[in-house]
Amino acid sequence: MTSLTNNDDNFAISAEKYLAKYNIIACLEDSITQLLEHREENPKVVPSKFLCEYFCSLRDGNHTMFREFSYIRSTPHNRASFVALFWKCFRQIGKKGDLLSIQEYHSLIGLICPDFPFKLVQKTARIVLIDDALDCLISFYDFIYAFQVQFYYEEFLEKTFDIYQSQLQSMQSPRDPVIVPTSGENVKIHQNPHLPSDGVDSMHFFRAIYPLLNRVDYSMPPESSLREILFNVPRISFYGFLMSIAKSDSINAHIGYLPEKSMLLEGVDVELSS
Amino acid sequence: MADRRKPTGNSIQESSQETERQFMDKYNVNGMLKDVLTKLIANRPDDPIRFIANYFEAIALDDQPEDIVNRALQVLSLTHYSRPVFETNVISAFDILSKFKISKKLHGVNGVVHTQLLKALCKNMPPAVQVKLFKKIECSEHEAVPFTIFRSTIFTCCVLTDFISMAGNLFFTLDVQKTGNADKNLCTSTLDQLKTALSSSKKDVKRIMESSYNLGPDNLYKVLDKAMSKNASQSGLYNHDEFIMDACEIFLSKVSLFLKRAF
Repeated sequence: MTSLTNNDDNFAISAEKYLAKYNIIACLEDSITQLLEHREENPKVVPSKFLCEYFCSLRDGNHTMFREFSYIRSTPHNRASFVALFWKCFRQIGKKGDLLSIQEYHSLIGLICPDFPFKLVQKTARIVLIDDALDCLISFYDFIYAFQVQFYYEEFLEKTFDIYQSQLQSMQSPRDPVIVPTSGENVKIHQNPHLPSDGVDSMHFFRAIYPLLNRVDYSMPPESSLREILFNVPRISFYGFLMSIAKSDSINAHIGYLPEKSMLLEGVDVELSS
Repeated sequence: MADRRKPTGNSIQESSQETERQFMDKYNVNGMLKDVLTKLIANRPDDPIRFIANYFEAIALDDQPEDIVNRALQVLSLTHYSRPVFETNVISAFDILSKFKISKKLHGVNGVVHTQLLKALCKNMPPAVQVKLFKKIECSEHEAVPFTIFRSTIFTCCVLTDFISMAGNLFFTLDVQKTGNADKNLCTSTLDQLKTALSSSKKDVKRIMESSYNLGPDNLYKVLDKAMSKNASQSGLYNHDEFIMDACEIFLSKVSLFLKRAF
């Protein structure tokens, strides 16, 4: 039985908006395109059976295997499913504890999505390595969560990056040293103490990204988790912020496709049917 | 909808075999898509992908008649019972169950299949509650089940399912120290309030107002405050299952009345 509370807002919006909210039209269109493509090679395909298989694999998140990047990127469900698929396929690497380079991760991803851009993998590495020493080796464990954050929240991250940059610049703008008039001889020259690596004031940053939340056109982490991250430290750097998002269990649970950190390498291998 | 998916390779394929459009028409693909979209918009599930997958699974399984209970259950769980569409879903579930074969020439809903469906609907309830509920609403095996009774029993099960989860929440709130046990005084006074509120009948408008007042935050606060002050006597504890059981007891005492009216 579906619960009442979650169902409420679906009836408050128009039918078109409901369909758009879950990308249903795009997904039905893709199913028909796939059906017709499949028919060219297998003329005897039964559409109802094909569609049943198609939507079951879509439901179980195995549908992104060997699909083109533009399709994988098209919906939040596809993106998160792809990250989960990557985990299902290559978790053995994580179990062995091997460290891999960005290039190696990119070729692994290339095995399940041939046209996956290298740039995204590079950006993922920036999160893990806090924008430093990009030729370092990365553990599977760090990679998968950072990859999820980078891919799933791509638009949100771009927007927050712009905000971060502008805050940083306004802070660095050349100002005259402030003379603090204290008691007589102890005159200090008060220099702006914040170096770029220090990041920005996290409360200020939170207020600036607040308008980005609760939008419908892209996915973003839940507000409560962002509060948790930003209210506990006085200053934060951009990649420190991304790293905290990647490490947050509540955000991972909110996306809801990858298991918790402690469970990531547990359990038996999941059967893959595509 | 249909024109958006206009087949592109028409001219190439025409010579060799049927066109894509002919292919789509032959298997009624457009019809299926239209149907699933209509159902989707009527029910607006939270997980539309699962909904669509279930829909096509049901089509693929259509040849197996044994599964009518599961299919009826699926139709019923499409949407919450407070939605207008639920009435339509109950009717279609009844239609599905009507295909049940009683004897060679006789089809229809009897006690056997009805009980199976109710059991499936209630499978998440605590067993003790289930036993009590079935004493009240179960039809005997040879009995034919008319739609009115079918409808009332389905609603009873759905409302009770929600009631149980809400009672669980209530208990969690009363369990101030989060130890899994709540103070007995608090629980009994809350349950008493619930009982008096529910004892009013449908026709008496004044009583309904009164009972909603009784359950309102102000009055509940007063009652709970009184119970808290009595606390010194250390009256003992209530655990989760006991609380749910007692809450359901109150609910079920109303059920017989409501079903008698339906009969």
